[in-house]
Amino acid sequence: MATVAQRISILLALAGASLRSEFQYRANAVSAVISGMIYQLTGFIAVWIIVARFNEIGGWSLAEITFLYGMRLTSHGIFYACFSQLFEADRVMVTGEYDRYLLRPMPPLLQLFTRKLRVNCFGDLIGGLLLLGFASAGVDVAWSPQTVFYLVLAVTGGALVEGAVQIMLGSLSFRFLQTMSLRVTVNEVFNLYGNYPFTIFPKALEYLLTFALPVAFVAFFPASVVLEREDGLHVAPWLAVIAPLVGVGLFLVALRVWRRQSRHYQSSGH
Amino acid sequence: MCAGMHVRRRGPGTCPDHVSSLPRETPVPIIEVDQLVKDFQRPKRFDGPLGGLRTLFTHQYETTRAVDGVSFTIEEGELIGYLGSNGAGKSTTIKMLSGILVPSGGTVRVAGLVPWEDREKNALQIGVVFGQRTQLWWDLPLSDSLRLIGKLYRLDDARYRRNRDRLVELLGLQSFLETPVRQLSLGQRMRGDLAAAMLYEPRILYLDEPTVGLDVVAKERTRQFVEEINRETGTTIMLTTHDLADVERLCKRIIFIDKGTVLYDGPVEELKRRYAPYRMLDITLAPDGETPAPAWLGIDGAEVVEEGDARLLVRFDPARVAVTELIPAIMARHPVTDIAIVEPDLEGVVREIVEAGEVRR
Amino acid sequence: MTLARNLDALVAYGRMATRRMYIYRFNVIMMIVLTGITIYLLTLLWKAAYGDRTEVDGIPLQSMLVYLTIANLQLRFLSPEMDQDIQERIREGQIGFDLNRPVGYPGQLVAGAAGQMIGLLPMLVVAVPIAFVAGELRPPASVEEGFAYLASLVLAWLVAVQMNLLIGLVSFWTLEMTGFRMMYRLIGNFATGALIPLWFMPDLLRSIVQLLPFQAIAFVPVSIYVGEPATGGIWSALALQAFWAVVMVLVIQLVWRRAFRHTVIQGG
Repeated sequence: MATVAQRISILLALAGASLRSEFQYRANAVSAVISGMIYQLTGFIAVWIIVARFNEIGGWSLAEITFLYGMRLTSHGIFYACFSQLFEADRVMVTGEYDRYLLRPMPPLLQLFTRKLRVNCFGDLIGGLLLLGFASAGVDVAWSPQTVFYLVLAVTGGALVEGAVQIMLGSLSFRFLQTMSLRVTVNEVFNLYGNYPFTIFPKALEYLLTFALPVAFVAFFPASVVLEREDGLHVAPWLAVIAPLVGVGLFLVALRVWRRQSRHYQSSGH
Repeated sequence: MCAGMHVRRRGPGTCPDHVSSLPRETPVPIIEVDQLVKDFQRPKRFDGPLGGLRTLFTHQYETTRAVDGVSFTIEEGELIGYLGSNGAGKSTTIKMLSGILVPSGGTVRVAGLVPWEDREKNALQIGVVFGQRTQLWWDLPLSDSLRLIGKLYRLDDARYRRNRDRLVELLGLQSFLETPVRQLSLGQRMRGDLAAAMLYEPRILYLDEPTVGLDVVAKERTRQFVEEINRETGTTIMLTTHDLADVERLCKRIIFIDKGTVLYDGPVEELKRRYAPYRMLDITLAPDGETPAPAWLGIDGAEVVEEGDARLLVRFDPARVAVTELIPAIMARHPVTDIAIVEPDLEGVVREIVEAGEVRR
Repeated sequence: MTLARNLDALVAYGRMATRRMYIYRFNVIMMIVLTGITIYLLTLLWKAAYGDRTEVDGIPLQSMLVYLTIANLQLRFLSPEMDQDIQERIREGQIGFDLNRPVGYPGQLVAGAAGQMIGLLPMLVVAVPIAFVAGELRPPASVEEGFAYLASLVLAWLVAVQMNLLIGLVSFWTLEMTGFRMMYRLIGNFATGALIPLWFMPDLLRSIVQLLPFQAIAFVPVSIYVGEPATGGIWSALALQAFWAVVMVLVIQLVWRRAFRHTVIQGG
């Protein structure tokens, strides 16, 4: 059977193919990256203006909020780079493309992920990293290899959290098509509410966005840890610290859910 | 393809020496299907203002039974035609055989595996070509697709190159190997798909409407390839098709499915014999303003089955009346400008079967 | 003749829009819910920004919240999707039929957009309560301001439709303009004042944005509604909108004439 090395090599080959496909349309790719970046940055500029004018929001300074925003954006960029095709799950199943995935000796979910590479993600990534870069200068953090390592873990964990949520929602497609708008809405909730310190939310909303939709784990929790702002947490500090682990855990659960739900696949007649 | 328990009929040059010295075992059917059932459940749709949400959270379902107790076995190396009208359950059966769908009942074994349980292992031993949907990468050259498939199916370099070169030659892909798939014609794409499916030497090939939309030359070419593959490598082939010319040309055995059940499973010739022990005369009458009454023929063993403007189709039983008697008899009753003898064809048989919903004994 | 045809287009589009809305009602509700969620977040954000203060720069908190609610609600309804229609019709080659009535074409499109918008009005029934819950809604301070708002709304819509039309017409020159349209949406979103009202923009940014027509789409009407029109008062605000509306008409006529000639020369 296939070794791990073989599997990784196959994965890279598929991802490479998608990349090459995307760059067939070179002009489009470049403008997609740029517009993606501008889109996110305008959102940030709005926040920046507000905070600059009001000095602080929810007890967090401009630099701290920039840091939080940057973390989430980078996380989202990674999520989008790896899992964006989950939003195409509906279409893939309706057109019969998913059938082909099942005919190949490779997990269909992986084939879905490597199907296309939406270069917009690079815009998010670049934007997010830029913000992180700027913010790191302004925040009061003792930077050490451990902190940086934790940051990397946190950002990856955040991507896994978003990925997990979208995989679970995507598995609904096996039984009900037309769930796209639900997934887009959830994605927007992450995009909107994930950028701000939870201190500006009422308590009920804080819990909702932690235990119903794990938005807190994407950026707010790890950012609080790095910036040593445990004062703003509505949960015990240890829960915030293990955010990356929660990401991994949720992701594994999501994979299980996907596999279970795929028994319901009906494969419409193409 | 040489590894594995069952030694297939094979052509020269593809087998390492040590395998051909193994004793032949009695072949077990490579595909065994027993009482296969598939129900489709669609959530009951609700109307009204919140209908969409209710549909999403409902637990009520409507059930349709697409496959209702299908059973058959296929020996290794056979070339089977799988026939039936749209919605008869053909595609559903194939999807269960290939591991795409999980059956609601019954059992399937393909080369000793249960397809949906050992999906990945099963995938390595089957090739599937859909006539209407390509598996090739749309924006990349055909050669890229083949290379990717080689990687996906874990072919080592030597084997990949050998198989690819053979298929390129067999299917004539050289001239468009570097063309992006989206720029290929339907015929070229089909050849590419066939190459992709055979690249890793699968034991079983499922072809779903492979000649649909192709021109006459391309169709013939495809049929030639299919026949050659089956003959030379002993690949078991299951051909789903509407094109009865495919069946006539390639299949000795057909399985006819309608409304989810197997109506017929056996040699093509037998089916034709049951439905067409008769032969037909296609007669063009000389125009004289009269259309003869159906019973005017009055010959034992012959009857008029179809009438048109100055045209008659007469069916006769060669056991009871010889052509040499019939033709002069007809000409005596009515002036005739043309007579043709029509061989029995499968299309009419199929039409009759579908209309009747069952097969004559 | 053109008036009658335009009315026909209006009714036809309206009916089509309502029917589409009913068919995709799940999506529509999700979109409205999303608007509600956006409004809610913005109110939380601004409440936190204000902190304990009830007024900043002369703008009361309540006015700010009402501003956010109405502005986002307005944008949801006033976003005509015409430019996509045009692109599609060009791609599919049907544009030739439309072009046979050259002078009336922009007029047709505006009528179409009006129809679409009217057809979507039933959405308000669901949208307003959600906005009410998510944000802050209160009636305008005075009847005069109410009427001024309505007048401003009409002008805002005219400007919005024409801007969209302009973008759509540009596709006569460039068949592939998704990047361009994106850029328009991004800058537009920001400059309309839906995220940040012009009151709070830093001086430099504000001066730039004030030169652009986008403010006429959201900031002007909503600021009138909450009783905080930009310096100069209600009448100068309305005049500004009217100015842009007229400018847009002229620009479109110009662009249209060139685009038409361009297509005809190409052999359409």
